Amino acid sequence: MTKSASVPVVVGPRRTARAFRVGRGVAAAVGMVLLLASCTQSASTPSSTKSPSSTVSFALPVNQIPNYPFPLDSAAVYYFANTNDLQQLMYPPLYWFSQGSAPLVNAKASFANLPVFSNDNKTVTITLKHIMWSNGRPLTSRDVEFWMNLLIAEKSIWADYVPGAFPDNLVSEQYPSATKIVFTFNHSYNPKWILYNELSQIYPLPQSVWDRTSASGPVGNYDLTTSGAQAVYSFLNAQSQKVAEFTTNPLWKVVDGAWLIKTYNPTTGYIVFSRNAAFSGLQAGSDRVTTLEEFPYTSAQAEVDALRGGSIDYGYLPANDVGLEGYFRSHGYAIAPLTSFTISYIAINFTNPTMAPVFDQLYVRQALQYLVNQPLYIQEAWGGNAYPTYGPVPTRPSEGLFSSAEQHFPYNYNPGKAKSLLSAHGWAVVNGALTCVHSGSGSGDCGAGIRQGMLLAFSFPYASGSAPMATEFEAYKSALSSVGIDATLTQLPTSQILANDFTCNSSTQVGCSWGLTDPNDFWTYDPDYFPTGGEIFGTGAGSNEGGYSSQGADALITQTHTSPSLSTFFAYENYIATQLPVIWIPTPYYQISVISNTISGAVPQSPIAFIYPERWQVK
Amino acid sequence: MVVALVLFCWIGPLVYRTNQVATALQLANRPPSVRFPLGTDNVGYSILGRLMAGGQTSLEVGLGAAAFALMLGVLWGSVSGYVGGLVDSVMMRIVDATLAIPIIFLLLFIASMVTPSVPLLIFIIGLVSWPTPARLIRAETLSLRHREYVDAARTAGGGHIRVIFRHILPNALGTIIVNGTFQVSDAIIALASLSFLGLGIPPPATNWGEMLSNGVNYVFEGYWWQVLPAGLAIVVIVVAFNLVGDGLRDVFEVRLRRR
Repeated sequence: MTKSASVPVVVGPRRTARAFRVGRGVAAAVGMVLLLASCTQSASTPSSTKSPSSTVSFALPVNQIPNYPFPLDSAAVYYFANTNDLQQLMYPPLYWFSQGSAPLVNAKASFANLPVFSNDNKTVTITLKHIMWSNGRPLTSRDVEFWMNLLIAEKSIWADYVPGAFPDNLVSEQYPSATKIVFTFNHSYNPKWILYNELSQIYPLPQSVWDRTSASGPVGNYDLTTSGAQAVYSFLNAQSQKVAEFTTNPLWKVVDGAWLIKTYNPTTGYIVFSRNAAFSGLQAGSDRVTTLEEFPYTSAQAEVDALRGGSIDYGYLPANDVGLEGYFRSHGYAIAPLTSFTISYIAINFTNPTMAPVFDQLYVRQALQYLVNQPLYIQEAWGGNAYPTYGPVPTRPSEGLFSSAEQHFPYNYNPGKAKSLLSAHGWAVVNGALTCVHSGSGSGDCGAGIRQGMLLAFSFPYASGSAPMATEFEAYKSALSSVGIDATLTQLPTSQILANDFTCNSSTQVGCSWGLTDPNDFWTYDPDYFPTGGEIFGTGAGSNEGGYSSQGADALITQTHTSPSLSTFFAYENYIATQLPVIWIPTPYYQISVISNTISGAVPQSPIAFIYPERWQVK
Repeated sequence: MVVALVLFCWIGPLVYRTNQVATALQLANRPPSVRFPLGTDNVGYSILGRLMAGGQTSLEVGLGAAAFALMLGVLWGSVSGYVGGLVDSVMMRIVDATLAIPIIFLLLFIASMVTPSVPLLIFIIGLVSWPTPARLIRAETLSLRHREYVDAARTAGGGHIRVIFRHILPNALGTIIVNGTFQVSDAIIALASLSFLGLGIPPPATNWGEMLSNGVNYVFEGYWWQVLPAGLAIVVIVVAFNLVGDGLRDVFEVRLRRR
């Protein structure tokens, strides 16, 4: 599961740092500069059309630098530049997920054959393919065991750890041969859930090189004991933070992925990869990319400028700069929106001391949803670079997982219905503000815990820095106002919202004041590719921002883990889509990729935003 | 020019009526036309109407913050200059310390702690702007407190407060008024800066800085009408107030010379 706050290159969250000095003379200067800027935008410096080369330059997400190659991530280093643009290039997962643009397991690209489940779905057998490490040794089950031992010893540090799930639900691990792995689970589970949400999180590591506790000490089998595994983890974690040694440290010279670090600038994060000549996984047959350069940027504007300057082969455009698409098309680039397996929503604070009784009412949540005009926001705010969200399963890429509620969403934009719902439940506009005029729990009353005279008013902080998002929420606020709901919009930095947007702590008052919020975080199902959503909608789940709690939802989530029946999944999906634990809003493309025409094979792009330059070809 | 802008902001909406509360996203980013003489912004507001509404906020905050800063600065500077000695030293070191902190940093710090509104922005901007008039008035007070008419007032039994308010400050009025005009333009720019950085007044309220900030997001789209009007309005109002200040200074200096 990836909670992608300020997701790397998501069209919305890009932020342009701007400096603006106060001073009397500055006004004129600013005005003139802007005048010039607005007048000269079409007369921009021409960029060169990219010439063929076996080197590909790639733009990293804004404000992210890859700086941690060890793929057992703690939350502090768990972001796309590390996971997608560094670690998986060197240490790919055992199972590769992305089939074209679909988030499906890719058997051909995976390092193991598809797992075989026992009849009772409690035991799974994995057979490794013949994959070589760059030092000439084969990838064996010992390398998987090494990962498992480190993971089990340090699971509490692992960013993807969910108590009770992987690896807690393993009863035994067996490694009967160099290519065979047998896992036994504590229950009968849904095989798809096991593969997509548990086995998806295995990264083979080179035990024969990494199983050590110091740089000068010998390689051993330290990982076989918990304390030994912890010592190995500490060593690897420390080595991973020695950024100045990335190109010289022998640890990072043994990879099973297609790429090795050749150059690294620890200050800027600029990184150059050279091809691993011994790579034995899926790769292009000819015209291979031999060198991959990754360029870091501190602002989207700087990245766009580099693209316009012709120094980037694979970059991206912010949503508000999509007007440049034509320019790039005519300068030797292709435009390719990247759809990730993501949903977007506004969180509701079910623990707000004042508003909780109001948000607990389904009819209030329905009214809030009826006021979201997704088609209009997609067209006008996002310039068409987004798609609707109707429930816990992303509407794109289409995976055949849409329940009836997502196919025929019952809460499409309808302010009239929102108004009638509220008035039918005892709310009326008094002095311009929507007020509860019939307290009580009856059918025509506001609902339990809502007192007479209470206003439907709340704060709505959202992330600053995204022009399309600001447009969207300004329009939403206007729609809320049209029925008398008073939402106070404030733009705050994402970090500031994230620090305060979880369930209310009555002693510190943290998380208590907000009503709705969107810190510009999108939920991408990665590496839990089967979208069962327990991490965001389960009671007490780590990323359940608003403290939503429903016994019905919890039971249905659990059933999706154990039952292979699609109807079970649809039951969960229908429940979440219609119960509205959050307000569904359009999901923007992960990024509008701008890819040089000299590269082929980069499209379709992975819905997990993985890059696989070893499969690209340069023309 | 100032009068024309005031009329534009307050009388204009009576002539050119637009809805500046409800968005009309389906009309977003329209270029100038007969229906929308200056086009529409990213949520469909008429830019011309928005300029009027935004101008009201900009001028209200500019005038209010300037008045607040002047009030604080005049009181502080006059007391400091009049009392002198250790009190003067301490008060002026406080002024120096305040001036040493970059204004934009102070503004951002305070504005990020609260939800901005017009009164709050007047307070915040005024709070960071008072040291300049304080120093000016203190200097003026230092030169005035030893004049004969001030000594005479004191000898006649006038209290300190009476002396300051009846004899010193009225003679520093020229400096106060001239500085006041500069304070207005500074406050308008400060508001524009805050808004440009996303710490302005929440929608549907707006001001010229916020309009500029919105418009800049769409520069590459070629939506020049979202940038030019607000940018020009800021330039014009600031230049206008500066010209008023320069003019007043000339007037006061001439008057003094004739004496």
